[in-house]
Amino acid sequence: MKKTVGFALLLGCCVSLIVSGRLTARLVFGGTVAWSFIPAFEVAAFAIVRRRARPIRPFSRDLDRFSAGRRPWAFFLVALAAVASCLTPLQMNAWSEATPTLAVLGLIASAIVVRSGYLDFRFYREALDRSAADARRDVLLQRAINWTAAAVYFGGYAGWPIVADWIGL
Amino acid sequence: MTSLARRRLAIGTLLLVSIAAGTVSDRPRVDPPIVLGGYRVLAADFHVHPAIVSSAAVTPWDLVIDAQRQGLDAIAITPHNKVFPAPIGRWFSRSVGGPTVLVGEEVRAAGFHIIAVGIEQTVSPRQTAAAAIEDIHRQGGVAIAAHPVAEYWPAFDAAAMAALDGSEVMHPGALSAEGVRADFEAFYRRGRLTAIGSSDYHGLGRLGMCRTYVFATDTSAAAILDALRAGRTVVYGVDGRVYGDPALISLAAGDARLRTRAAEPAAPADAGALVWLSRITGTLGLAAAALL
Repeated sequence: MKKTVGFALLLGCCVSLIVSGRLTARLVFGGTVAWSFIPAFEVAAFAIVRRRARPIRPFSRDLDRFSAGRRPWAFFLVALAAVASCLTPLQMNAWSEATPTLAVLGLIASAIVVRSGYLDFRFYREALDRSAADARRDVLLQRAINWTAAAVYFGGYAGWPIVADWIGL
Repeated sequence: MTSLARRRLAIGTLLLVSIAAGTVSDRPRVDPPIVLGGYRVLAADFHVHPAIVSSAAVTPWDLVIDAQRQGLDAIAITPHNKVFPAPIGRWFSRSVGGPTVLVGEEVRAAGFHIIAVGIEQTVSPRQTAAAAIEDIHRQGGVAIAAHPVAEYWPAFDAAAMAALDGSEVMHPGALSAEGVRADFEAFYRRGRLTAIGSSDYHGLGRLGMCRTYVFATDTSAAAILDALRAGRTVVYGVDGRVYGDPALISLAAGDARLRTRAAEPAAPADAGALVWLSRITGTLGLAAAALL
């Protein structure tokens, strides 16, 4: 569980760096509160998927080992926050809307999705003794639950009326 | 002490130094109030997105503190298609004696975006722009066209334009794209609209980066809404452009502080030694923690 709490704090620190260019106690706290839904949904999804494997070790131990899959995301977020902390508001504004920047970030994020998926696959294979096919299904199911919940929480409620209009409901 | 314990201690020390330096350097600013022509001139940002069940990075209480840091006298907290958690920001600001916080919403429909300022209940986006504006007015609020680029114009028919109170003529989108700026200006000139400058703040850029000077009788929410309905605003744009009530623009021209303060939020941050210390130690500590 320690690594999950640590990841929530890391998210809060990244928010503080991006927003104010420094770490402040109030923004670290606020960022941690506001963004803890990411590790929270991840843990919930992990708990659901793990039950399929009939685990033998304690949940907290498995969870800390599973957290290795977050490492590429954590490093990417810190790098992003470090760059953002040095930009002026005008640069940040131009940077966040520039297609080449978004394309590069999208490519890096795609590579991280693959890498962290592989790390999770290895976790299910080695720590939970799953077959290759089951481990693949576990990775996909865990992401389907986690990412759907996070997307609904982050933008889905506000975005629903627009989606409903698009599909003619 | 094991190698892992030593690494953890080093990371903890780096992060503590960073947070201490960052927190000490995060001081509030105090600008003397500006009074012109018998009005209190308030710097306001009416398009601010909060975190918590919303697509933004900063919590409502931190928005209030950041507004003080950026010299804003008023903000409208405007989540997408709902008012929660804007009331949290208003409550917090009242508790700490912060800027005036107006509860609002960005009504985000498929064909238009409208900022509702001074409402208490959610305005549905599943209606026409004219109907949404009517709903906002029924609650005593003010309706502002949000970043009105050409693709949103068809939704603003004659009925909507007749009822609309204001239009964002300055917005971060206009800072980097000439076409976007031209769209905002063209829309603003379509009717007798109150000029608004907003940052559409989600956590990137800076709160109050684009702002509205409101000429209000006092700092209350009611006085600000009255001023918006009466068109008593001045907005500074790029390349020396100024929008708003011509009489107030002339009045504001006599006080250089308004134009100077309007340009401040877009300028590079005042990164003193403590800010750099916090930035560097924080980045190193976080990078080491990510690798742990």
